[in-house]
Amino acid sequence: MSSEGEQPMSRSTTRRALIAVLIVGAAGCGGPARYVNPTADFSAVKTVAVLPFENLSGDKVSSERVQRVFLTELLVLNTFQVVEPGQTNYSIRRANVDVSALTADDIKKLGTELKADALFTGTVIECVDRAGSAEGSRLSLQLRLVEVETGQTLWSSSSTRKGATFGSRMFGFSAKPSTTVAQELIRDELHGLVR
Amino acid sequence: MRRSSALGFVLALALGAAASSAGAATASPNRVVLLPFDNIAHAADGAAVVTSKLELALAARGYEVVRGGSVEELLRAGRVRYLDSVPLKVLHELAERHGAGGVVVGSLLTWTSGVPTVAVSARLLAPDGACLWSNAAALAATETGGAFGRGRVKELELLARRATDRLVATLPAPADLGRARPRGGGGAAHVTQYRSPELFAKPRRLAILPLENVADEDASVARIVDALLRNRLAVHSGLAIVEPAELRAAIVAEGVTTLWGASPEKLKKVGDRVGTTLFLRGAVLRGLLDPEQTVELHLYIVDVEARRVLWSALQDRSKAEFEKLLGLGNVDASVTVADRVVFELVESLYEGH
Repeated sequence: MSSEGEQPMSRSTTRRALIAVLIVGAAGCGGPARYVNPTADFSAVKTVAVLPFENLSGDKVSSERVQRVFLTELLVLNTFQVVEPGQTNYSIRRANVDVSALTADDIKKLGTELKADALFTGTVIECVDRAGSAEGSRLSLQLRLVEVETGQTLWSSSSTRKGATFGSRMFGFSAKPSTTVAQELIRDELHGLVR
Repeated sequence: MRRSSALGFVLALALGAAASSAGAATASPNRVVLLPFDNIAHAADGAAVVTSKLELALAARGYEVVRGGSVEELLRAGRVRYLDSVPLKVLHELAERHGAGGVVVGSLLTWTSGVPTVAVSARLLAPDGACLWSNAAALAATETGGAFGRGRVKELELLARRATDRLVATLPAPADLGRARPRGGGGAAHVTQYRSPELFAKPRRLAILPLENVADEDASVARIVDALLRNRLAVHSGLAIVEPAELRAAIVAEGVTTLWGASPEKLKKVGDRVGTTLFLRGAVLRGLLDPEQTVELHLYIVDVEARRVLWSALQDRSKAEFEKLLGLGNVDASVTVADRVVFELVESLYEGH
């Protein structure tokens, strides 16, 4: 409990801090951190919606860009029916839901309106766009698939990808641009999910 | 180019010739009406200059050009606000009154004096609204001249002349109209995309909604990309493009105030008015003012009735990549890079179709 005069930490701030700690922890361990709910029945997940991604990076448009890369890669995967993004955005506004601090009730309300079985959420932790340099771009992303009915996390992943290549490090060639880095990271994570 | 468009052109000439109304002129197969340019670049002088230059360029290609008083009078009477597209009724009247087989509409996309740069786009529309030809061209002063900048064009007016000459380079002679094909610009690149087989399952129309400008730049950036997109889509016959004037009228009739935030139900009603359930949406993720000079676009087509995404694609190109990898020469006009991205996205949409 906060002492008198102090501003209590908002749910959103607490969550952001927690995500940052998890990501730092995951990065320290050297690889992506993935979680699959052992009780999850993925065969029941037919229709999904992709919510706007949260942005903790310094690049103010990175979340929008990464979310659009994610949407396209998810469609390419052709595993789920994906709710039309215009419908998703409209329902979020109408339900007056804060996607950065979703409660189980919010998820149920939103998912029911969207006729979705599960919702994808994402958080861009870090996005550095240095395509022209040897060190290249860098993206840290957290993804989550939440079941509408129960509000339970079915799957989550936290991973970091760099755009630097052997050629860029050794010979100063241009490294991969941030969109390519995002595509590769998301593709790998989604393939990990449906495997 | 669709055969029906060519037939429309011939039909319009026949209609023009047979017109009995007092204001109708005798149709000439070479005659086109040239509208004042839509001024996306917000440069009043520039729009007037490129309209004049295009008149000269069209004349050099063998067209008899009608513009000025009587054209503007009809535009005023038709309460035409946006000049990049006019309502079908006005289009028909413009052609009939002047005995013309087509109407040329254009947009001034860029007119800057820092590094002098001019970018333009134009379309030749048949009286029935079908697109007979379309193109876009951009030129920066630094792209002209020889070694050490000798012979470089520094005046915007001269640059405008070169840009309009480049613009009409793909315009067929009057006798050959109707034979135009999608223009190239290098082979289609690999684009990450999803395309549902339902998209081309039956002939459909496609309404293009204004793009979102995520890049947070000048609001005109999304309009520039919009114009480029319309040009590139117009030459393919797979999806018939709804004219912007028709879409605007439907939006007004349905009382839609914001297209980005419009409910799917509202969009469906707009679609009912223009005879489609397909809408193209998208965003400029990195744009013409990006420090790395990278243009990145996300486009997707939704079926508002089925509530499904039928196509989604992302593409980006940087100026450096354009010059080195694609070998398309030095470019300093960002519109050229944007047009390349639009070209690759549109080609990917029709790939294998």
